Amino acid sequence: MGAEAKFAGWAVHFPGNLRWSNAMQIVKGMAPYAAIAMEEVDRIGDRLKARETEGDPDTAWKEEWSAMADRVAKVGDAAAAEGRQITAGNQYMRAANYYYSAERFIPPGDEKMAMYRKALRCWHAALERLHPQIERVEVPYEGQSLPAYFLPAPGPGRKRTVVLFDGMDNAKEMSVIFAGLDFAKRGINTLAIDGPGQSETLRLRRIYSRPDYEVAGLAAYDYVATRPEVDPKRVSVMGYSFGGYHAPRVAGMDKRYAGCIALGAMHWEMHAWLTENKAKLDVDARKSSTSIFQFRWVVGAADDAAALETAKQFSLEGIAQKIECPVLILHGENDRIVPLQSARTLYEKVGAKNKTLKIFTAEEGGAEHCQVDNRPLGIDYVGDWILANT
Amino acid sequence: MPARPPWIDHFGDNFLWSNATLVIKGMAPYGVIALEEMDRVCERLRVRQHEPHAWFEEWGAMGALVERAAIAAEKAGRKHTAGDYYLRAGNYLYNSERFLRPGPEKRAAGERAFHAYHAGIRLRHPNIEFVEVPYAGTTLPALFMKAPMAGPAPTVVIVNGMDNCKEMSIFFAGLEFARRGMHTLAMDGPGQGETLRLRGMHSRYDYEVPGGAAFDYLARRPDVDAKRVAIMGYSFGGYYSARIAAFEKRYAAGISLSALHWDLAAWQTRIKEKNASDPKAVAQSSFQFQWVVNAPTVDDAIEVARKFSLKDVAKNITCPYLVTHGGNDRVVPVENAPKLYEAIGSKNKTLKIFTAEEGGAEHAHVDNRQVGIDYAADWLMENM
Repeated sequence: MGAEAKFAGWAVHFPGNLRWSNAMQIVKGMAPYAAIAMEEVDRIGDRLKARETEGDPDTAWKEEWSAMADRVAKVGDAAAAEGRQITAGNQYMRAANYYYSAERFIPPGDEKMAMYRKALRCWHAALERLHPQIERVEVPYEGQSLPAYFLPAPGPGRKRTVVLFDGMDNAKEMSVIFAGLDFAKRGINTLAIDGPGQSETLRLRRIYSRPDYEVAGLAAYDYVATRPEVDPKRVSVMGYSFGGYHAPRVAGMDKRYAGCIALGAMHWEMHAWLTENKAKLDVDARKSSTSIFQFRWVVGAADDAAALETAKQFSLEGIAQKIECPVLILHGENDRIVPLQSARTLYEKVGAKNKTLKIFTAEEGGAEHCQVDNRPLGIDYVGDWILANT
Repeated sequence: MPARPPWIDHFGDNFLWSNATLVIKGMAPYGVIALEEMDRVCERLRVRQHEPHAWFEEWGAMGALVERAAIAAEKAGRKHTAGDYYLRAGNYLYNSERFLRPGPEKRAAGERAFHAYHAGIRLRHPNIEFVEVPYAGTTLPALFMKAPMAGPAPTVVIVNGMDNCKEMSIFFAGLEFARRGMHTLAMDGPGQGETLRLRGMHSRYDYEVPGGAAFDYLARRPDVDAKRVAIMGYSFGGYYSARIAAFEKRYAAGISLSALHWDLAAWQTRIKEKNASDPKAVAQSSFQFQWVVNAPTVDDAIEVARKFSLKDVAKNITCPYLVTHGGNDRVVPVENAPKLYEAIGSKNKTLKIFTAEEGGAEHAHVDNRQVGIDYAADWLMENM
């Protein structure tokens, strides 16, 4: 079979299968940071193509990603044992991203946690070898703490800072690389944090998401304000994907933030989207980007009905209007997860005078969800906007 | 030829285009291309595979689009963003001229590509210095990437392959070397990159002359540890680095990041025949070698190729030497690597073949450059 018959394009690796294509694109989006190797990802993709019609697509996904991750992690371990630390770091970084992808569709439980721990071990091993300037910190939160990375911009003095929350399926170990490293080059500090319901916080600490995300935003602000590298008057809050709900919510309720960035608006009507998604999943799992359990798990709901009820509270109606600081909303014209209209609605509702809606067209690139198809385009835009507006 | 996934063979059995595409795709880990943009170009090219000018037009169009965005960002004072766009434009524009025959159109495309590359480097990578290496009454353009080291540090001189340029090497190798505390001097030697395209200087088989010039230049720099300078070449540069190591004994180590054809004349004869029968099955365009060595005809070029031989040369290499090769290399078959390895006179020599399982199995590891460079960098740390 020739490559032409198999080729499906950069953004849609598995035609007709949004579930895998979207998850694949999220991994591919880490290519510009040497955090994955496309050659390895493509090998996985090829094996998955051959298994696409298996009855349980989630098992195939897990097996192929974890097999590659195991192989790469082993090379990392061997290099580390021989003292080749940079090589070890590069291998661990790639293995971590593959493990995290392997974990994506495993339902909450021991198997998922075990896979996540492998990802986290490799991420830690990679970051300490490749990016020793990234500090692991704990942000005090309601008698517990939230795990985060603080990446200081080089040079002395108090600087602009971004508090960066993830999306529903991502991790601070991704954000700190795809956004933090570039912000640092522009003289901006980054706190990449797994907020309630996100990655490590959800998985290992069982702290679930909440509609009143300003509680987490407030904790993050309090933390960064204690740091000598941070200019407390120039702290922005940013979120991507589902974080496109969190950031405006935080900015609407905590006026200490000097800027707000939604790297992708969230569905204006979360409840309607989840209802529709559930119907899609009932017919064919491959038509939905998210798994059946994800939102329910993230918000810690007892069942689907309770999760849907909770979704009603994740609304920016009445909150967006309260935002006063400068706001940037970015959205891909061809976003297949959150339609463009949600970004237009959010933009209209935002109360701030200084607000920008940046739509990435197919012509300029970054037209997919959260610019995941061409991440540096989105991050370049955000970095410039922060320097000009905060 | 075994079937390879679309990442490696983007245009199926059109090896001429698949190989050229992979060379640029291989720059993805360094943020200097965007696969999304490349994919758009390739989708347009897919339906134009029988049009001889399509390659130049489509890569040129994307290069121009990205270049316009770079200029706009620069005018608006958004210098980091401008730098990113210029670097991508540089790679697309450089790729666009690959199959253009030497002449004014190729020269103009080259000038535009190097302008974009250089603007991007200045805006984004302040630790890269533009230098001129004195050579034969003139100079060779090079890029020096400084590792974050206080005192004199070990340094790697890199010479390119036949179709590449220092603006690629400095990223895919220099960034990793810098992390390990080694400086990099990426040079367009005679017959390479900017030196060939904009200065009209053609290649020579006795590459120890530019190799010696590069060493002389580095030896004068206070930040270079002259006792620890290595020479590395990739692809066609796998010939140059071995030749230099054999004759310029001041180099402390050498690397052929893929060996070249042991019998280059025989290979060029084969290319000539294939270009006549099935040009899309060849990675190299019909004029390339002839142009690089400035031969009036293809047959003259084959005569010149006889001098590009390591047969009686490799035995003179005495410094530690590494030969790497991709197990599935379809440009230079893997059996050439052990021939070079066996002929090398050094006691300390290593042959590393990358398998499909571990990745980097294609020519000069372009399919997974990081795997190849990690290996080379570790080897240097341990052997120089």
